[in-house]
Amino acid sequence: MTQTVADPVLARRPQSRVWRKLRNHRSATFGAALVLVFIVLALAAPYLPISDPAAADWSAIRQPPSTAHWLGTDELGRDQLSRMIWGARASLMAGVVSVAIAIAIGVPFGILAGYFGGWVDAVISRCTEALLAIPFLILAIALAAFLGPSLTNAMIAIGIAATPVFIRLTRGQAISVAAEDYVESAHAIGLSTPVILRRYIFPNVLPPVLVQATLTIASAIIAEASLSFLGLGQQPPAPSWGAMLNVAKGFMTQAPWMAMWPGIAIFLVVLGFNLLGDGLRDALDPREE
Amino acid sequence: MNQVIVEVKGLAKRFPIGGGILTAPKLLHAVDGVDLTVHQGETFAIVGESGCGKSTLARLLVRLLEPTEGSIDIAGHDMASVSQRDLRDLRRDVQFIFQDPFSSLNPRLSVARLVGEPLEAHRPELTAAERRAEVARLLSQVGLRPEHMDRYPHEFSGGQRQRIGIARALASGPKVLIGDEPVSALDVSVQAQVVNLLSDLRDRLGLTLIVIAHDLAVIRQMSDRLAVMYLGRIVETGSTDAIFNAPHHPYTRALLSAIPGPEGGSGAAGLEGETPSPLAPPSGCHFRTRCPFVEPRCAEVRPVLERTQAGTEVACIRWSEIARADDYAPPPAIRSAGANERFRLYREALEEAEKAKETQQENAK
Repeated sequence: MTQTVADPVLARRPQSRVWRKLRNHRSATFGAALVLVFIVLALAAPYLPISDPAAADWSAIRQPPSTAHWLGTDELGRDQLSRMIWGARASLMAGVVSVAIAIAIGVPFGILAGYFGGWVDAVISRCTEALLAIPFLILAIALAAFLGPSLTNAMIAIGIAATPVFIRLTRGQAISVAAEDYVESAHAIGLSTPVILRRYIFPNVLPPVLVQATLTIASAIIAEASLSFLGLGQQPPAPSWGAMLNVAKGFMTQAPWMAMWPGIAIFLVVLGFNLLGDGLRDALDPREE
Repeated sequence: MNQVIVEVKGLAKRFPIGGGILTAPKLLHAVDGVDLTVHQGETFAIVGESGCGKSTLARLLVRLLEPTEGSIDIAGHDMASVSQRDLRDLRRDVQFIFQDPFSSLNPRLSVARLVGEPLEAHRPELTAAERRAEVARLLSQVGLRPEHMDRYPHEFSGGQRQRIGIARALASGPKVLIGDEPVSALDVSVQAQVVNLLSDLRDRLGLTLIVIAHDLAVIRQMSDRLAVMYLGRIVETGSTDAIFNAPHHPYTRALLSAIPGPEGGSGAAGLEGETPSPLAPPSGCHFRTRCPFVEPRCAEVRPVLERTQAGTEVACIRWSEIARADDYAPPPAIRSAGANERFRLYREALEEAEKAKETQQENAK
């Protein structure tokens, strides 16, 4: 019987359709490029011919963009371009790492709550609701203050503060996926619960989580700014976009460029992650071709 | 007669509905004391109108639902009481075909994965290449091409998807296949093909089929024996021919006379009223509220299955009186135009399958 089967079919390795689809997804590649530019800039900061981001120049305070300072200077005369590039490190880290923490905690708990229900759901959901009752930023501030001021602790604090949203989102999605016929068919086949969770529930709860993640990256960058402003995040004089934005809001009329650059950068990074996330969602769905 | 492979005794499923901290929940009697015996190699049909508990019964048999009471013995294993861990192993012998081929396949898995999963679970000794070869064999067994392996469910038609579902069910090498309305979601012409495929697989692989259905044409075509369900209980069971020729239970009579006649209208013995709520089923005989032969005693006694001369079993305290006062005419042999068209399609599909088999054999030579 097996001899009649064409050999090339049997030999064919299931190629990565996800990767191929992602590459062909135009807005996703644009988003990825955008994100990549910022990441490369952030990583290359020590090797670029830019001035020290912490070096104050009292003779050039709040200078508009010029040939000497391409993006102008801030209230202490520090070069904005240099601070933008160095700040990208803190901001990207704060955005990506904290959201990664939130997903890493939130998605498994959400799946457990949604799939098993009962007292597991009751315990997880009540804890989630308790956390959700506290405003996001207040919670992040409280956690950061508790953990001690540093960028790492700020990322952890933001990540935990963002977790409840992911638990809720995943739980709801898991409840609806668990009721699908194909999950029942997995039981009928005799698959073990871990396999069902990994292969049936997880991939089918992921799409809205990805979209939420791209949006949360933006709030996380802003939250890092707020924590920095309170001295709980990036420690001055080391720059971060959020911290720059926070300082700049006092000089909106005198030196609008101070706010403009970090604003534009945050906008572009968030746009990049959004497009990438959308593309990833499409690429992960075999129904989209 | 072949040996018994499935034996169900006193099976019941009651779903609690509502109920708070202080109020007790109401009980929905979905399946209410069902006894069944299915023999090796036969096709056993369970028929009834929607809401009679037949899908619940099917799910109980494979323990996708936990029974409230009763025992289920399949191929020597007690499905009703084994632990979840042992149950996973038992699933090798008992597989399920779902009604809706569109929602019962995980959209994110390729056909190779879908059909390969049961192999992963039940035959872990296979290497990846062996598994692929086995999937290819299973696909050709259900009439799909091995080239379909790396496609996803959404790329297939309903009939093809149902074939994927059947290949998935066959992969573990089951002895018993339980189908919950396996063809009712398909087009009529495709239904015939899938019905024939199932019958063919039963003969070739020595399977036992238990099919839930409401379509009497499908049942007559494929089943050897059947059980008629009404409101969670079996009211009549026996060989398909005997029941179609001489139904004894008033409900079975009404059901069979509802097969459209040549003039399109249904028979005169149509039922009045609605099926009572399974939350509060009538006392005694469940059918008494709609039965034309009802008498006061029907409210007091729960009828048990009694054997008739025709070899069927019927749960009605008045069946012998009703049979004597026989006013029942079996459904007319002349079928409606629609029924004729369907049977023609069945025949054609059968002939096609025959032809395909012959050419295959010739090619093999």
